[in-house]
Amino acid sequence: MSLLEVDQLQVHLFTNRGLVRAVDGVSFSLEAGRSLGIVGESGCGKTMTALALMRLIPMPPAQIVGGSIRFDGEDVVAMDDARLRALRGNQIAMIYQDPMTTLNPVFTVGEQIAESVRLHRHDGRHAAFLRAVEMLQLVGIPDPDRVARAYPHQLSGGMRQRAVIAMALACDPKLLIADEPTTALDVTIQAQILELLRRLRDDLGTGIILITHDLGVIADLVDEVVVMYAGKLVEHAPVRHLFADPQHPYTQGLLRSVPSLDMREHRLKTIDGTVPPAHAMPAGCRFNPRCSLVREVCREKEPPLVDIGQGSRAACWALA
Amino acid sequence: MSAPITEPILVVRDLRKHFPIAGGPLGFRTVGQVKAVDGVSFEVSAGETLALVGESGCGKSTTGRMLLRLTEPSGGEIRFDGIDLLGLGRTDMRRRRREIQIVFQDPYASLSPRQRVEDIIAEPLDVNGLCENAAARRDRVVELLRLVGLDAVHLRRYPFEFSGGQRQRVAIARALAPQPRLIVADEPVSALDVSIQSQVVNLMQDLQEQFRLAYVFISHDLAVVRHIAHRVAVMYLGRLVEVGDTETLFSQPHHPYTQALLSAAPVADPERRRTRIVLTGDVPSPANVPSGCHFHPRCPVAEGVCRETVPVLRDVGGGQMAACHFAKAFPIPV
Repeated sequence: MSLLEVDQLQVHLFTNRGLVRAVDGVSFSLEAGRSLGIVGESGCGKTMTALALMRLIPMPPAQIVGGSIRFDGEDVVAMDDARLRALRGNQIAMIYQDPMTTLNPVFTVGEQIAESVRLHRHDGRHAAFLRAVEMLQLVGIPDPDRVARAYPHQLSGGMRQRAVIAMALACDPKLLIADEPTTALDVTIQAQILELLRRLRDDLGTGIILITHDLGVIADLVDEVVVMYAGKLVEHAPVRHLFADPQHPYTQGLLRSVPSLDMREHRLKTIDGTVPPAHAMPAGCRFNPRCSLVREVCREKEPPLVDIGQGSRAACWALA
Repeated sequence: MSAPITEPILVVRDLRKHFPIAGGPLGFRTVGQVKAVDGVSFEVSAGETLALVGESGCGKSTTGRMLLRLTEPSGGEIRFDGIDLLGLGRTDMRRRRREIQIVFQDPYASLSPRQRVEDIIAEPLDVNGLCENAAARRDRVVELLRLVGLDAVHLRRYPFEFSGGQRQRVAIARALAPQPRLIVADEPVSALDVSIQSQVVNLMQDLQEQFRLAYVFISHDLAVVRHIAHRVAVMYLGRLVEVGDTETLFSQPHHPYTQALLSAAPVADPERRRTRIVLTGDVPSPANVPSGCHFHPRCPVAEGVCRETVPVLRDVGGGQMAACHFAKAFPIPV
């Protein structure tokens, strides 16, 4: 049994301008101690997918209208609120992009980490604080005793993000969902945080779902990748295959448009056009207006997600 | 691809910006100084792109703003086309800015939401009195829109009707309007998605070729810098630590900070999870900089001398300059 199984997940937004199918039939699974990346551009539904895993999507306007999410064999979609509260921050934890908005400015870092320990493990105030210090040490914060008594504004960006990770890990979650965890950080600090996440996955066996737009970060950390475009899963492959031999035209375009650090092309490759607005998706394959391989069928019918070998799946008529 | 060798149009010498830190019981006293930019020198020629790279707080944006005197320098010299910009009065400086334009990072913030695209782009024309009449103004705006890959149908639209990439195109069209010779681009593609980022980078390169524009390209994204820049200047805590041709600097960085920065950049290739030089600690606060070499508390090769003596930017061969007591060629680990 997988740690997490997502099957045909559908999240719709009911907005004034009409129905937006923000996440449309996304399926993947994750084993304990493994990591999965969800990559895509703004508005592709990657954050909505992540939030749905813990039922944290804003309702209204968003609603899970179909599909299932099974965590450790339990159906998250059907859970009542009490069960959800017991799960969140305990067995599934989340870290967000901006540590400054995650942390509460009027409590010390230690109190905030201790809060989830007291809530979920029913530890006393003192024991929970000691656990907080221990967690800060685990994420590589020098002088954890002092930092536990500090307020968020007294810490640097990299230290804050470590504190957020310490908070997420305080109850030994089985699954950690990280939504753009390094996007707000400088590159030398980003390297430190990625190193930390890798160590936690390998040492503690925490499953990691990493959501990012940065293909470099994806290549660095995860075992397999889900590529999303306009709410659809377009390709799902082991990380090496995805980068060595991308199959979907969107994945190919995305990888080609990243400038390389090692060599210099005369011109960067691009994907023409822009992502269509959420409430006016084209018929058929949602990528068809920007695709170079577009055929008649692409404008009429949505391509099915098919197995393309080597553990990969893709949704494209050229591969079906 | 190397830049044509000509007289530099921009010469910056020993540029400094020190911000006072207010303190004391009523906050009227100055209790210290933040040396945001502390003695920076470089040159840029027509048709050339110089990239300023570094992490947040290193002073790269302050340097960019000082080139237009949007932030007033505390000292140093900026010569544009032979004229000392810091000696100019307000009116003369305003006239001079026709030739030096800036593009900001966030096109959601840099375009007025209440102006139509036509008026946004025409503003530099109006300010400088560059159009005879309304028809000429309209023609020029349409011409500019086409230059950046937009169209006359966009004239009457407001910024909210555009995507991020299109807005940045509008911001670039506005910068181009008064026919500048130098454009300061402060993180122009950082807020854009990857597939859009490459469109804007290509556009900037095309425009540079067409008009022999000089760019000061401020960025923290090394892959984009490698692609667009002819020369690179690396900043750390207000000072330049290394300057050189892009190719040389990326293949043979001499300063330990440049080496760490390059090795820390994630590469979109899982086959090459490289051995990293992971720096310990954070960038120190610019209000309280370390003695000697600013980088010494995080430097893997620091010795006693680094704590005491400030290293000067010196020639390390191949037209490359580095400010390190122990600078040596160092191929980045693969």
